[in-house]
Amino acid sequence: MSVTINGTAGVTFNDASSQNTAATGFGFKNRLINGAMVIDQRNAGASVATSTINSTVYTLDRWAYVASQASKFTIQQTPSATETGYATRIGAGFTNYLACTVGASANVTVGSADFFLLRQNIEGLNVSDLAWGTSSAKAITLSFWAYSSVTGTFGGAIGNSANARAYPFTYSIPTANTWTQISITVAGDTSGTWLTTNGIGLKLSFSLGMGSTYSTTANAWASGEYYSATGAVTPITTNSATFYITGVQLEKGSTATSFDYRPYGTELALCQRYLPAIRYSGSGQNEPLSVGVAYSTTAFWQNLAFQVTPRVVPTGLTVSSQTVFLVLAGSGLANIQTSTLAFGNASYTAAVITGTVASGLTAGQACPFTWRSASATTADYILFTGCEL
Amino acid sequence: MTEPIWKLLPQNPVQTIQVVHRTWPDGRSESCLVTAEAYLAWVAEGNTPEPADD
Repeated sequence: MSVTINGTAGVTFNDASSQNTAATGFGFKNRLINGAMVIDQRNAGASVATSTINSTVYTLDRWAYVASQASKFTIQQTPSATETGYATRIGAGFTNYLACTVGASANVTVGSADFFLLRQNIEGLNVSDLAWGTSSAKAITLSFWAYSSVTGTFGGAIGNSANARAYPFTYSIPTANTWTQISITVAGDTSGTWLTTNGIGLKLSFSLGMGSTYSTTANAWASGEYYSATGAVTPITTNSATFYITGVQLEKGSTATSFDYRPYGTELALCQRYLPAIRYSGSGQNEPLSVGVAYSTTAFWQNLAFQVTPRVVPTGLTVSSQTVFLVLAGSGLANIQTSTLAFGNASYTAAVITGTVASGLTAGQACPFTWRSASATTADYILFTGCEL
Repeated sequence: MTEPIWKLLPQNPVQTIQVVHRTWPDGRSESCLVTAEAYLAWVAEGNTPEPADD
């Protein structure tokens, strides 16, 4: 293998790749999680409706959508290679992307207080070395691949947890339906309060349409709540407009380096810190979940262990259906279908699910808890909530 | 899809904090502590949960 060392271009390898700055560390180089859009525990690739106003809609793992008007976009993990120019994306190493699509007749004129944005909040513990809010603040570089049916100058922003500091940025997609690689360097913020705890350390937002209230001058730090740059393109104003994104990386330093492809299992574990989740695999068996105890003839509790320590102790439970589970009772392990399930309580290591059945339990007896293969499908899930940022 | 109303659940032996639940038309069921952020946001909008069944 031959390399060329040049004072300006840095080191160029014989496969034409290059490195023009010193490596910034190889552990957790990309501070974003699921930047390649490979994990979708909630939806398993299904399209997400954005029917909630002014609250967070969780899409692919770690990626949230927030809007001031309901039901304007659908958002979906997309592994297919059918979009125009997909070979560029595949060639760059990204099998998945996050697709935002405006409804066929959902377009709106963006009012001054409107906001439509895609966001990932980074945990403070994972950006504490940036020293933001101090005179030692380090620069960061954001890089990603973007694609849209709309062309022009798009916007986004970096902000703090209190929405008191923001750095609006712009980037250009000059050609419609063409994957475009973007790189943006942001000087570290020497002002403001930037959490270094398990709270929100840094907010990254991509605007899909932003009113003037939340837009300001690009490429400069500002005090206030801003999610985009003044004058940026607003895909929401065009029916059926698309905005796709993948390969999103936020790293320390002033140069975009190659994407930090992490092992799938590592990326999944990183996601589960924010969303402990279990899915039925579709094996056709009554797949085991836990073993608990009945405390009446119709009520039981189960203790489900987390695979990854969550960011905070979960406070809730969402199940796709309450009746796709069994408890097994008595010496014959009779299969009893569940009627209801509810969150009980939790710790950093496990959560209690309480539930009821029509009849057939004996108080004080152990009762295994399983998926019910006769009704469970791969669309069924158990999610423990309250851990996302 | 209309957002369903949260309903208090009877307290069971393992709970020290009250739990609420709601079921969506598509069968999805949510439950959480009354201290959960999502539930508190719903209450802050002026909503009131249904009482628990006896």
